[in-house]
Amino acid sequence: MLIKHTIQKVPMPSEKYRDLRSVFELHQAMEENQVILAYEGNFSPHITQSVLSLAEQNLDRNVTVNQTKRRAFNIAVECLQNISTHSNPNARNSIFIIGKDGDEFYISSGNMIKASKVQDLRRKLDQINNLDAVGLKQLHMQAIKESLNRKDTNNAGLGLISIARKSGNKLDYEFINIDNENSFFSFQASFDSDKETL
Amino acid sequence: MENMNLPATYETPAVTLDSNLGLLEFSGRSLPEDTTTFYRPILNWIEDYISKPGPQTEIAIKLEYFNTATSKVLLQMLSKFKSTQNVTVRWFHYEEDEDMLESGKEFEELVNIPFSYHPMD
Repeated sequence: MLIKHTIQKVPMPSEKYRDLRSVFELHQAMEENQVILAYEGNFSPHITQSVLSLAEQNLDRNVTVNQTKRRAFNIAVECLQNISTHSNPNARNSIFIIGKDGDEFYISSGNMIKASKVQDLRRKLDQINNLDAVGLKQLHMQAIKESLNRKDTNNAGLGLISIARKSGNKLDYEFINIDNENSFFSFQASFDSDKETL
Repeated sequence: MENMNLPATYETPAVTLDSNLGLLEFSGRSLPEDTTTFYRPILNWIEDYISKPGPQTEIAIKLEYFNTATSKVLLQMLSKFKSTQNVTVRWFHYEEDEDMLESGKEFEELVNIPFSYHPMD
């Protein structure tokens, strides 16, 4: 019985071929989409710091304007911290991507969150997307003042406000309902690569 | 009281807290997600210091990057000096880093301490 079971688990040659083929296909898909860095897995503090360091080295190489580089790094920092802050602790792996699309760079994150958090997060994102630079500054000032009086670690959306200010573009997001308790939160911030914005 | 000197790491700044000189200096980057572990001893030091501050106090902030969690702690830190006499903040930023200059101006708006701005090469 046991032997039979073991034999069944050995991949057939065609399956093995298909698996190896998928490595190439994934590689090709990432090349075509100009993915600069993609990490999918567990985001422990130690790993998160390593991913950030990889992100920094890749941005250094790909972005030429210093100010854009700094903004991109700030966005990467806040995106990675959003993954760990908002992730459902019992959830599966999360994903972090830096990519390029023409003259535009994008930084994306995807992670499972509690379904009960969706409404609040959506409200914050919509509020941010409805503001211009002046409005975002006001919202930032208000949120940081309020943070002084709060004991909890919830940063009242300061991270998202900061990403929006550094990006200069609207934040893209989507929630995919998984089940009653979980939702998958896809998030993307973009910025122009080599344009002198100053 | 004892001075404090911390070397910079990938995620935390170099810190000098010198009560004789009345100098508090932060340089490098501050990106920790959990700011409490790193900043609690610093906030404690500041509380001790402001109970018997020197005649002049200079807070020098030379940060290349800081995350939003750090910005909350910076505000918390600067707010502790609101009743202390002769405190100045020297805010350093890379010449072309307008965002960092703007951040300094925002902190200046939030706390009642005079700031001076210093571009670096």
